[in-house]
Amino acid sequence: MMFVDNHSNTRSPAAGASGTVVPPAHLWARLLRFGMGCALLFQALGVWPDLKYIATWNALVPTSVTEMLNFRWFPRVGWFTHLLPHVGLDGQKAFVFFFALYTMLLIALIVNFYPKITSLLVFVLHLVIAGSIDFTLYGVDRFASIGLFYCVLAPGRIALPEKSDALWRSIAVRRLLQFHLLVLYWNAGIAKSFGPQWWHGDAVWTAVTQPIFRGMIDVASLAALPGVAVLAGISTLMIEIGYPFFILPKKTRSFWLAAVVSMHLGIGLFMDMWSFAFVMIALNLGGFGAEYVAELLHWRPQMAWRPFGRKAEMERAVNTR
Amino acid sequence: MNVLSRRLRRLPFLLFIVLQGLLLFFGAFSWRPGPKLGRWRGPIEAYATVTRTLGPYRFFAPPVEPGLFVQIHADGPPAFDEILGNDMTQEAALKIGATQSSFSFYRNVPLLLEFASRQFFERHPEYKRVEVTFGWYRVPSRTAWRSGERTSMRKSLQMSFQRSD
Repeated sequence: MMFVDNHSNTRSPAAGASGTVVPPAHLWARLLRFGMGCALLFQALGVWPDLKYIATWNALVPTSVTEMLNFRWFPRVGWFTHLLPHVGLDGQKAFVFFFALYTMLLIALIVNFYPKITSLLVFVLHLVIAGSIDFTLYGVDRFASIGLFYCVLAPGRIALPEKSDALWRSIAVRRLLQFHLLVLYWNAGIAKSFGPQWWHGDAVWTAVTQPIFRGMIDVASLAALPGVAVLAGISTLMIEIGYPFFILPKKTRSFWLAAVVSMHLGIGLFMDMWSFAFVMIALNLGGFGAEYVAELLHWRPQMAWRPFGRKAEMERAVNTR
Repeated sequence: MNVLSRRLRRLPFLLFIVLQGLLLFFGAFSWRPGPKLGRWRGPIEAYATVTRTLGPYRFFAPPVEPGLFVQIHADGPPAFDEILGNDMTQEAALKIGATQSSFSFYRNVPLLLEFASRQFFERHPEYKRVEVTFGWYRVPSRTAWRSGERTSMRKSLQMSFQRSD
């Protein structure tokens, strides 16, 4: 529970009366936007060199086919094909235009430039692009949409001393994001636990031996040490099923957050699914990591650069419990 | 009075938060708006799809199976070999100028392979001939791997294309 600033507190910048670091109410939103922006920019930069092969009318999976299979009201590039030629953006140029705009807005999201309107535009553009190149994506676009939706709902900038209504909204949206993450991980963990594959380590083995996952793992060593795959499978189940029970209590939160972040880094390393890993890490840090980032900023105040709040702002944001 | 007006002011947003929470909770257990919702069904479905509120979130949940693959081979030098998988993106490894897709959606596999070869020739003009194979990958068990068995492709259709220009 966060309270309004206590300006009389002369203790260390981000430490509350109990010594616990309490971040300013909007820090989580900045963190989420920064994380989502970085993760999606990373993905977008990976797609740029191959854009014409992925998102054009002549791509392997032509965009017209993808758009036909989506819901008719789902936003897509095709909606603008009658308008864009009037401004010289026909055919492939339309995709390049949308993607360039999307990339620039991601940079704006990272630097927290007009955060509310930028978040909304990125959210809509992401839907438009995802709706037109659906087949080239996997679960990452879905989680990216979830993250961007919370970026839209999250507060932009809360004036200090924090207004009670703005503070209330910020806490409510953050709680909703946290609830979403609890449901998401618990649901995924329970669904996995019904499959014996996850208990025997076969799921991990099958995943990493598939030719499309070119991670850094040596498959031969995984075969030689069967216990490693079993351990990885069971750890995944424990982390996901235990998420609601261990991420909420403050005593276990840091440990569980580190475990979840490690799990996603492992997915990035061993399965080469970096975009997915970064998006999930951003969601987790936005939902539960603000306190730790505040601590980090307190320890190294020179890191309190603009995306997380100006140094002076951080110093004023002394909350008490 | 102040407290009451503040509560009233907060009510719509609180209602939205509660409804969103309910939607994502029940959506995670595969609830979908049914016909009983009448005229609300469409808007709820649209909202939930756009905001990705409805689950389930069963990524990699049981079972993990090898999917369909398209394998591309072109004679060298240097020889070119690449594999495209179903559903999972091989990030930053889109070497052939095409990307994975849900191949199972395509009933016309020869056309799909022709598309792949066209993309390949466009991207790699130095190659004159390409062999495209469509099939399943079979992953051996860990025990079988230790005894020397390796991942193999069960070919379903193989086609060769020659550059015409």
